[in-house]
This record gives sequence, C-alpha cells and structure tokens, in this order.
Amino acid sequence: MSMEFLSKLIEKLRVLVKLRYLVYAVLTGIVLYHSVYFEPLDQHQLQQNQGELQPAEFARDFWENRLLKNLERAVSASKLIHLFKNDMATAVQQYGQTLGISSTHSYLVQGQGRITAVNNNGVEINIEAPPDSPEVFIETRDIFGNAVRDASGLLNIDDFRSTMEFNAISVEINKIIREEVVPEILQETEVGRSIRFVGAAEVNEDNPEISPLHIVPIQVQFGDRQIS
Amino acid sequence: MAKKLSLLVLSILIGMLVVACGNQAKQEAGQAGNKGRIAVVISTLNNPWFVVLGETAVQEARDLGYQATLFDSQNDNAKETEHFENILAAGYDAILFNPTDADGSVSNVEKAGKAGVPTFCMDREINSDAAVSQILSDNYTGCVELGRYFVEQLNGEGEYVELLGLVGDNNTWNRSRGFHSVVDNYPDLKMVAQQTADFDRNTAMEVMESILQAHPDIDAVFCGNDAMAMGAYQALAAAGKADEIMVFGFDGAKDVVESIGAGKIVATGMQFPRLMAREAARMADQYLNGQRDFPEKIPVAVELVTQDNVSQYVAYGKKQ
Repeated sequence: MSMEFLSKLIEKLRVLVKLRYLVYAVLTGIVLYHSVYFEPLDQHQLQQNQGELQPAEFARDFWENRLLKNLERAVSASKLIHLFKNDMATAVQQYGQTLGISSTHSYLVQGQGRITAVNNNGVEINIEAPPDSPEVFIETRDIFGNAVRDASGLLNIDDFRSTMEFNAISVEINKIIREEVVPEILQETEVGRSIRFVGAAEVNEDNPEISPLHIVPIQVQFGDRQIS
Repeated sequence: MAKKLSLLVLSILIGMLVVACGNQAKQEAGQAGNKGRIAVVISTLNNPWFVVLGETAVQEARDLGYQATLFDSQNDNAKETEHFENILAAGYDAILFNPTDADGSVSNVEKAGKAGVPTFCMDREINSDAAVSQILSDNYTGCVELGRYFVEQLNGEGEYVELLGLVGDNNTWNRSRGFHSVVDNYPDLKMVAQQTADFDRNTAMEVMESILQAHPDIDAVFCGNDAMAMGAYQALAAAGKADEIMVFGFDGAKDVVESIGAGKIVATGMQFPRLMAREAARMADQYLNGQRDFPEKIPVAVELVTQDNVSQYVAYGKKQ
C-alpha cells in the first residue's frame, strides 16, 4: 500500500470524523428544537387564564346582564325600615339575603325622596313616605364590602372555585359603582332635588343601624329641583 | 318439686344478670364511640387557636358517639400527607380537616374521597370541590369591617405596616384583600412595609423589630392573625413604642381579647372556631347516617372586637 494511498485514506477518515460531529450537531439541534419552544408571554398568559375566572369580565357581565335586569325585586326602603323597627324576623325572612352563618343580611332596596344633605361621604335623603319619613344615606365614599353582590341573591358561593374568587367579584362590582355610578351622583346631587334610587344595604339583626339606612347605590335617577 | 322450683328461680336470676351485663356493655360501648371513627387533622397545634379548633372537633365527635383522634400536621404538607395515608390505612370513617395549604392539600382530600372517606374542611379551604363541605370564617368581610375601623382610628391618614400570614393559605389573602379594599381608598394612609410572618408569634416579633429599624415612626400595624399581633406588640413594647403605635389583629384569641380589654391592642376580628368545629363534626355524623346534600362552602361571619365592645366577648367567642 503506497504512502500516497494511506495519506488519502487518512484524509478521508478525518473528513468523515468531522462529518460525524456535524451529524451529531444537526441531530442535537433537531432534538432541542422540538423540546423547547418560544411564544409571546401575553399569549401564554391568555391560554393559562382561559380556564380561570376573570373577575372583571364576570362582574361586568353580571352587572349589565343580570343585576340591572333584576332590580324590580328591590323592596321599598320605607317598608323595609318599618319592618326593621317592628318585625325584624319578617324583614330577614322575606327580604334578606344571608351568606352562610351570620346575623348580617343584605337587602336590595329602592325608594324615592328629596336630598336633604350632602357631605364627603354621601347623600342624605328623606323618603317621601309619611308618617315617619325615614332617612336614607346613599354612600359615595365607602363603596366596599359585599352588599351588592349578596343583596341581589343572584350569585351562589358554591359556583366559585374558592372564596378568593367570590370576593374578587365584590371588588370588581364596587369598582364599577365607584367609576360609573358615584360620579353621576356627585355631579347631579343638590340639596332639595328629588332622587329615585336602587341600592344594597347590609343590616345586622342584633344591632341594626338604620337611622339613617346606609345604601350602596346601584342605580339613581334625578328629578326636579325644589323651588324654594 | 322444691328443688325444681329453686332451679327455675336460679335460672331466671342468672338470665336477668346476663341481660343486665349485656346492656351495661352496650352502654359502655356507645360511650366509647362505637358509631365509627373520625380523624381530626389540624394544621398546627403550636397555636392556641388551632388547639381550640381541634379539641372542640374531637369532643363533639365523641359526644356524637364516635372514637376521635387528633393529628397535628405541624404546618408541614408532607406530614399532613403522612397522616392521611395512616388514616386511610387504619380505616377511619370521616376526616375533619384544617388544611396546611389551599392547593397542596387538595390531593390528600381527593385520595380520601376515592377511598370513600368524606372530608369536611374547617377554617381553611382547599381550592377544590373534593371536600364534602368546607366551613370557613368570612375572613374578607371581617377584614372589611376591621379596615373601616382602622381608617376611623387613624383618621384616614398615617403610615402603617402589614404582617401577612402563610402565603399558601387563602385566609391570608382574603384578610389582606378585605383590609385593602377599604384602606387603599384613603391615599393619606401609606403602607410602608408588608411582610409575611407565617402566622407565628416569634417570627412576627423578629419581623417587627427589623421593620422598626427602617420605619421607626409608623402609626399602626395590621396583623393577619392574633399570634402575630402579640408578637408585633411585644416588639413595640420592647422598643418603648407600644403606646404610640396601634396594633390590629384577627382571630379572637385569649391573649388578644385580654389585651384589648386592658387597652393595649386596639381591635381584632372574632372568629368562632368552636362553632366551625361542632358544625363540621355534625355534618360528618349526618353524612355517615346517609345524608348527601351539603353546601360546598359555609362562610361563618366574623365580628369586630374593639376596646368599646370587648366586654361582650370571651376568648374564641361571645359571652352567652
């Protein structure tokens, strides 16, 4: 075997060895390519969240398509206050919504009257329902808690994966009220003006604070200004 | 004839004795709990609040006629899993459960369910419908009320610190979010630090000491449970600031109720562990007697305890 032949053989073997590494590299690249993938973070998060409750979306849908379409079930404020003073058990049984084991009950309330006072926390209204003409206070600052969520009677805690999800709905409902209902109240409210309202109240049957009855507003309509 | 009569009388007497002994044995067996066996698994017995929860559950189960055993998970999900394995292997009929982790404890409850053993969660929930029912404090609403009172006491302004509980416990976040749903609407109230102290008194004391180094002029501390409130108060007292900085807790534990009565800690949210434990035991009894329709979740209202109304309350409940 000539030296020249051997040299050529060795050279060919060197090329093959280099090729082998190249093949290994290509194969590794193919395996890695199929093991790892990249996608935009927002798309990934969207897919992740598809099975989970989206509180803001849920609250908006609840507000527009269920709550606002079921306000006719609200009890008259003057009737409710009268029951609170004289027959709490009937008030609770007929009109109260209760979450679990509690002495506090939520009520969907409606009424109309005249604005008698305005301050940083809300609007005081004298309901036009003699003989006692009770007072109602529409909150504009303290919009928190579960009054609206629970007073509606339309949501069941067992339909939610956890209490955190259920409470997140209240947070979003309150945000809608703060951003959409309260500004109108603040803009239009004026002592002496007539007002019609629907809202939610929470009252503890053992310690009812009803003078005035505090209400978180859901819907308000303003009427004529009183001519003095 | 007389001999036969004597034998007859003797036989009757022996028969009566046997029947009487049998009734006595039955009565004793009933008292020992022969209706079945109930396991009570508690997240930790290092906290007196949970001791009350666990011991009340055990006692109620025994009063209902069951043998009941208390298991301590020591705040360790692995320990809790071990307890569940032992409970299922030993053939317990039902589990009254206070989970260590809302997600981490789900598989234990699912395993029990597959083995035909119903689980009733007490105080802490799991993020699953695997439990037959979950009886829980309404922590969120309780902290909305606490938040209102907090704002009132600080006149809507000041700097404060928040000590959080265990981050894997939904109660931590329900309480924090309820509190913030109120307080965050007051821009002059500034949270200068928020840190977990794991619901632990000693950890809270250390964390508070550390926070005070960076923020010596705070006005208040909101703690996600009473053990942390006591730890925070201890740290403030050691720094000579207990009279300047208000402390708020949550639970209704004995030492905090007493502290509120003494005008030290400002307020807490009273939970009702005895009510939750008794209700869970009763539901287990109803289940074992054939009932199947239970609400998945039963929130129990929390009541605000302040220096003004503390006389109406005792540790872990209300005065009768």
